[in-house]
Amino acid sequence: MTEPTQHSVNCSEIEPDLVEFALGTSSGRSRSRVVSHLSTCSKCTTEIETLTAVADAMLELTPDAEPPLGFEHRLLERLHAEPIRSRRRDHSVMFAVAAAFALIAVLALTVGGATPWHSTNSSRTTSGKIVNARLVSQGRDVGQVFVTAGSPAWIYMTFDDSTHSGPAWCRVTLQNGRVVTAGQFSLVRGYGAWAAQVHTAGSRIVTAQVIGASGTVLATAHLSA
Amino acid sequence: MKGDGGGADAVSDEALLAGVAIGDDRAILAFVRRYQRRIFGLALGILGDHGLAEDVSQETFIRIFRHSSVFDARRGSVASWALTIARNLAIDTLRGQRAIPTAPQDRVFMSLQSVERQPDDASVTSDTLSRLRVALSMLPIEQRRAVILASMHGRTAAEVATEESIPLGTAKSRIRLGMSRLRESIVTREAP
Repeated sequence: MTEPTQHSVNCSEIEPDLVEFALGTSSGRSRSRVVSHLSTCSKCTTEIETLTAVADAMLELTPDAEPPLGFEHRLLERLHAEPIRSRRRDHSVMFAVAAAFALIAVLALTVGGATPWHSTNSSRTTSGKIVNARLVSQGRDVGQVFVTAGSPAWIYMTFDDSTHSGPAWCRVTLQNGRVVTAGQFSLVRGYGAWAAQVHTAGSRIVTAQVIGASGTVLATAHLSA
Repeated sequence: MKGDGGGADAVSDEALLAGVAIGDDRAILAFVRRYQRRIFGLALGILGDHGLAEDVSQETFIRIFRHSSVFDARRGSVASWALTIARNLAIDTLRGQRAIPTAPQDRVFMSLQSVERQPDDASVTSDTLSRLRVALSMLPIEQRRAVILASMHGRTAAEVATEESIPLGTAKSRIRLGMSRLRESIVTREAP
């Protein structure tokens, strides 16, 4: 643990603080030192990731326990009394949702099979009321598409392909062959995340495509079985 | 996971959370059924009181639902995220109570030795947990207590020192040594 850093604190000095940092029990001063060190030390960053994984897994060792009778009912009643913010279904929230999906997609693209996605070789998964499919470009996965099955449907898309930038459009094809432009978004350094409502049942959407500024199809997701 | 009902059984946690984020009632119900025993179990383990554990569990779900749209998969799994919210709320609740229960960690400590996950958890994650559980059970008891107090009950080294009536340096040492051994069990698993 002697890897030098640009800061005065080196690995051996920071090592005693790493465990408590990962456990979330370090003091403000210690936390600040660790954060500062991690910004320049990949070795300690990896160590923190491993220790954090241990700390997280420890929580999963706790035995399950059956909640009191009526727990679920009381929770759902409370939810209906205090609707969660996202139920307003405003666009800002939808973009936040898209951003969340984007992060998930990035993880899926970077760690591959380690993620729990149910995406299969058929590139389609029906999960209750949400369908998840891969966006594919020339055989490469470049993003994800999520479609709610109800009507009107919500469609969420993440796209990550450094070979494209600028404006892009989402085009969906319905079961009856009708083609609908669902919306426009921007690709910044090849990346974009986007969400919108489509005035049809999600179950009727067969494909979703990303169309570039020149009108070419950048990627396609097959949502039909 | 058991008890989700319907087709939600096959849905990944992330997809389910996506449904929660858009207010899908079926996704919300499935999420609650998937996680209520785990969240309540953790809250009960920390608090040792069924009433407080229910309050914390309910608040945990509310927060999960409110923040589901900003869940960051790069920072861990849905399970870790949800359980961390529950843990933090339980710890806050415990700190809000003037009297700290006699030894809530004993309940966790004892139960850790006999707990068995559901059969349908058979996965890489389950393998990690199995190894971790074994490694935990092999720790010297004083290290095990220190690690459990710090990881599950959010105790700082100073608080562990107070509760265990040991010097601060000893508490820090026990936590670090214990965590180091648990870490080795995870790293070993990931080796080809």
